[in-house]
Order: sequence, then C-alpha cells, then structure tokens
Amino acid sequence: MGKRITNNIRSLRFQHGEMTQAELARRIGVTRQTVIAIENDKYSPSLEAAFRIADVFGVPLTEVFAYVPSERKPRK
Amino acid sequence: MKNLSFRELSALGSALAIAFCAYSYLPAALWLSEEYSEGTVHGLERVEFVYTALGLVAFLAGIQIVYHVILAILMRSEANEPADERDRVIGMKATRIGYGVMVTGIVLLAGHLLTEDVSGLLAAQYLLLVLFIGEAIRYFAQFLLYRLSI
Repeated sequence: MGKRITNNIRSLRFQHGEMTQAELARRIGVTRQTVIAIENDKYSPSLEAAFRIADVFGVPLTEVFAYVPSERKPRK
Repeated sequence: MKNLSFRELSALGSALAIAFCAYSYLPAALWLSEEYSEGTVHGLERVEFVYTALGLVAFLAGIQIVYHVILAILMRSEANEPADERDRVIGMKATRIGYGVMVTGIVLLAGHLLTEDVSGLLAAQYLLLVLFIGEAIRYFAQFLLYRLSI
C-alpha cells in the first residue's frame, strides 16, 4: 500500500487566531495558491518550506505533517 | 472561471492565444506555401510570407501584452506575488512537456525533410507549426498542472 503526506495546517491556522491563508503565505514566503494546494494535499512543500510552516506555528514538523497510508477508493 | 488564479488564467490565456494565432494562420500558410512552391500561385512574393509570419508573431506578442495588463489590473495582489517553489516546479514540468513535444516535432520534421522533397518555404511553415504547438502545449500543461495537481 502506498503512502502519502497529509497535514493539519487548517486546524493549526484556526488555533493560531484564525490566521488567514494569505498571512501564512506571507510568513513562509510562498503564494496563497501554494498554501491552498498544500492544505488540500495537492502539493508537498519542500523541506525548507515545511520547516518554515512548523516554525510559524511553533510546533515540531511531525505535528504539521504526517506520512500515512493512502486510502484506496473501492472499485465500483 | 471565477475561481481561477492569476497564474492559471495567465497560462490558459497564453495557450489559447497561441492556438488561436496558429489556427488562423497556419492552415492557409501551409496550403499557400505548397501551392507557391509548385508554382501554381502567382502575384505572391516569397518575402510576403516572411512579413506575414513576423506580423503574426507581433500580433501574438501584442495580444499577450494587452491580456496580461488587463489581468494584472483585475488581479493586482496576485499579479504582484513573486513566483515561489511551486510555480518553479510547475514551470519546469510544463517546459519539459512542451519542449519534449517541440524536439519530437523538429526531429520528425528533419526526417521528413530528408526523405521528401520539401521547399524551404514549406519547411519554414512546418517549423513555425511545430514551435507554435510546442509553446501552446507548454502553457496548457502549465494550466493543467496548476489546476489538477502538485
């Protein structure tokens, strides 16, 4: 079974004074579109960007990202 | 269309502009070049093909500039954002796809020129066709990569 990277950036943003995607993007030096793509698990950021995200929230990297088994959709 | 980002609209607009210009010019140019090379067209000078091709490129550049200026005015904040790591990755992937198509087209064209008796004028039109297709695919791939994944 394959694995994929997931994240809980959305809940971390909520816990940090409902930080906007634009604010997070500004603080880690990417575009808002990239933050949206990361939150939706469509784009895996570089290691450096991942550390910057964790740094913004003041938590270890493993609290932001997780490497979990990917769920396969059942065939119809 | 409403939820498309600046970069998605930019890539899509560029792809459509190139496809439109290629579609409006190349079928007629290829046909005329073939007829001209066979000597069945009169009152047309070879240099007119060059002027028309240059005019096409200038027109394409013009509509791209106008389109991007309008887009930048409408989406000012997004347009001012510098490219980040995702933009660069998407740019590289799209370039690899577009230029892959372009190089394949050029190799096929070179093979065609070696095996068939093709005039220089017609070969130039084919080359223009390959360049236009490669660029349109590059921008379209960029749009799809922004839209679908990574």
